[in-house]
Amino acid sequence: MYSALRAFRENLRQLPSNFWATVRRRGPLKSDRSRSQAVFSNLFLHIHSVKTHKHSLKVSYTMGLGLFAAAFLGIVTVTGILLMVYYKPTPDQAYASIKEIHYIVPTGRMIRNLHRWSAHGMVVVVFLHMARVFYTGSYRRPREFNWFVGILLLALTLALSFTGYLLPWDQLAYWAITIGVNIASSPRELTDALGLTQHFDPGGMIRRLLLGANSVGAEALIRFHLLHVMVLPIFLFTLLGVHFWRIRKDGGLSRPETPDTAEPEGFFAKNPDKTYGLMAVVRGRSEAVGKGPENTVSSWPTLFITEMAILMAATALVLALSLAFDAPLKEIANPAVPENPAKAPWYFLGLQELVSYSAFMGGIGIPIIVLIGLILIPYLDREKGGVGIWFGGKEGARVALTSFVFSMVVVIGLLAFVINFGWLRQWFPAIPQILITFINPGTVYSLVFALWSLWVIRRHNSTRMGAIALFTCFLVGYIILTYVGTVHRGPNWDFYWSKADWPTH
Amino acid sequence: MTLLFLLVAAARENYFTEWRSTQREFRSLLLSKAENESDVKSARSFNVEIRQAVIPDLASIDRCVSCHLGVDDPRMADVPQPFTTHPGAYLEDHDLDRFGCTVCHLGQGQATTRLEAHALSEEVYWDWPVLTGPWTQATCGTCHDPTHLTDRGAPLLGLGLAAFQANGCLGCHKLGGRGGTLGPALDQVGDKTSHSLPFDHVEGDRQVWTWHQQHLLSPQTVVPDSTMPAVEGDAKTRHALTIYLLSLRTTNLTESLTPFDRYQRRYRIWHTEPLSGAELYEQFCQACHEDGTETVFHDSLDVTIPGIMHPDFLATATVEFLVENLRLGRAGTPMTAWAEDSGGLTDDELERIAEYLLESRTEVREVTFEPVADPDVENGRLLFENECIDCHELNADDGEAPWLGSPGFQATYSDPLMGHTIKFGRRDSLMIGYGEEEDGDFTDRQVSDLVAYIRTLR
Repeated sequence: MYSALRAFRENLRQLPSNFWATVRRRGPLKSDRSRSQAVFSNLFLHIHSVKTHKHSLKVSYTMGLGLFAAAFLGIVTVTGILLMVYYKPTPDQAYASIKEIHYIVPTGRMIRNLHRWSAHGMVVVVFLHMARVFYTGSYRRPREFNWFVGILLLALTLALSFTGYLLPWDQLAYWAITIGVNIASSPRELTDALGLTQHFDPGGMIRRLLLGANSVGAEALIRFHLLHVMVLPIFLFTLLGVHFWRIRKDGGLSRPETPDTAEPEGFFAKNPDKTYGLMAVVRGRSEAVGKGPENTVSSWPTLFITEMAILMAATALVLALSLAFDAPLKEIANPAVPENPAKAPWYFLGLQELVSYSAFMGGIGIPIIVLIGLILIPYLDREKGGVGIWFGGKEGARVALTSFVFSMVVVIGLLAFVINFGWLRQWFPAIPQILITFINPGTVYSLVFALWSLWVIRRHNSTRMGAIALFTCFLVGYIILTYVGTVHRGPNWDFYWSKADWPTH
Repeated sequence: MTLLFLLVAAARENYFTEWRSTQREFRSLLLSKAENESDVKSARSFNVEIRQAVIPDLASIDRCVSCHLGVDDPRMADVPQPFTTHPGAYLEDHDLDRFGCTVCHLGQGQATTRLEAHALSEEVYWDWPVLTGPWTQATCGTCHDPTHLTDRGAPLLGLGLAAFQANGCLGCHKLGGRGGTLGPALDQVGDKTSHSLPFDHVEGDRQVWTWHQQHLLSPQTVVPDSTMPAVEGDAKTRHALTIYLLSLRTTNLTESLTPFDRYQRRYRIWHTEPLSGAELYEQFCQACHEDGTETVFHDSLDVTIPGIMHPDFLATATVEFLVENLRLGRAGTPMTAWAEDSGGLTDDELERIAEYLLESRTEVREVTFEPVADPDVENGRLLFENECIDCHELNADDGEAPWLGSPGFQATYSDPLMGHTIKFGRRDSLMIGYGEEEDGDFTDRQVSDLVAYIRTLR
């Protein structure tokens, strides 16, 4: 009659281990089966497959760039939520609340620094990730759609970073956003030139939609805040879910086709005089156990160790940066005192450089062409070979290298020419703006690069080579223009070798 | 490694902060100053923690007292900064808990390091660097009436106001709606930050007070195309005047923090205590017209300024004539229209200026000239181009002599007065009497032709 009591006592004694067992829901991690269970019985891990191809774990293949981006996103999310505790999105209070976060909120300064550095890190890494995916041909069938999702994620990342830029409400923020919004409202240049602005003003519409007014003010701040902390994150995380899910559905990370079917090395020495066939499936240990037929290893623990390592590395990196460099905070926003030069966030400075030639082309025309071009790559290059190999092999590497040299020469050459000799407006002051809209260094770059890639397609008789050529040119152009815009452009967007040469005031 | 970085961050924030070591230093200072049991006890209980004055009415959070720990402790009078007792009796009238620090001293109250709180370095991005010593008097004037403070802690501020009036700054600059229109209004000149002033030609620190002092000394050095004359006076005058200029800031004081004399000052701006004609002349006219007896060439304005107390000018003038001239001014020239809706002077005040000018009149002459009935404008033009155009040019800014197309001139000079002036001229000046036998030989008819032509000038 006391057996129930005894059982109760026994249950109490076993409570910790039973509880832990229900949390783990698997046996000790000694067999592939329990390792698999560790993955698929766990809500947070089951987005991974239980087996991971060895090729996917090669550092030299992915460089962990996607994971770095995800790690930065994680840091940015956590620190962002913490910042929201103290941040007040009104013009009267925003700046002071950032000051409070910097000076007095416990760990506030670190958290804000981490937020900033991982946001910048995310932008950089997302770009690199895109370059990796491109150069390894991983946008090919069946991954075309995921490439598209990735491009959207890139755009969302930039949008998130841009909307966050305004929130500190300092001079840097205010004028960067003013410039950014001017870039966005650049269709005006075209409609002005065509005399349409009075009837049809898409530039003005974008501007008022973004700002809720004609200039940056309280309405803009609340909009940017809403976009930054709610709207864009919802889109980003949703699309990120799709992005991850598509990786699984598309068969994991891309990899070369050949090694999968090859026998694992050292597993079975083949005798050329014999023929081989599968005779029977046997229980228990066999030669194949632990050798995974497709050169895979259990995700647990190999993949998760890698992921944790990357998370740790990313954290350590932004921690070090945050210790060394504070996130900038200039004087409070003052609409009466323009910053000169007023610069957009750095990743838009390439665009700002193009905008300095033609607002419409730099702000809308070329970015849209580039964006559409990027999205269409998988549909215009439908060749099959070379997936999962950097540059798809030697020929691709050579094309990438020559394109790199070619575009370096073109970009730096034309840039130096424009800086030294000016452009149409300086030579023919009375020239109509519409001509400059269509003939300016930005469009010249686009045209030269397009012709170059067509020539490469013809020469190598391969659309893939053309794509590599074009993408390389785009990347070089983006990096050099961004660099010049960041480092060498001073007051009035004039060229200076260094900031020390800027005129005083 | 990650953990190590986190540890470093934690140590940096929780131990190696400037204000913590300052407060530890203060604690040992307290112990060394302790004279009895209770002093020791209170020194022991001194906690290392952020101290701040939060003033919602001023939207300020001042953490200055986290380091300036001795401001209200009389024992610290001889201790060097940051622990010195606040000098003077200022804190008696301005309770720290009600006013905080930055309302007077500016600086960045939220900051917790010396460098960033004082914000004197260009590396610190803060618009309002700390005011120390005499400069602090500037903010006294932001709330108080400067004239009340000359013997109550802000002597330089009052001196600055006096210099402002003695230099006739209002002749070109508006303040409270009164003053000339040549220069910018000065109502919020103290709100200007170092970013809104051109520092290209300023030597020394990039601070607003450096700018003002050098600009007052030599306006054209600091702003090359400026037309402002240099301020008369020594370095102390410029110092005081700069303090006064910096006091002209906007503040939004709540009722409870507003001192009584702020209302008085407001009231005085709108309901000026009657100024005498001489005082008005000093403040509004003298900067350009000097003592008024002679026609002078003004260097920085690059223009000839008529002697408005010339005996021949005053001889035919009446109060009404002068008031009308002052009201209308000389559009197109530096002469401001002083009517209430532009220069801001009331008709009463203009009348007093006119009466003041007429005080120095030595003789009265009737205007006897009578123009002929049918003047020949074309002949007038020929005469003008032969005799007058060298000095009275047709454009407003060119002539050495007054521009005759000015609407103010056209409206106030009647035909007879104009003829009279041409005929008799101004003695001892370049304007000779063209109708007088010894100087010229214009007949009354020719003078009438000239008058008719001058009427057509615009």
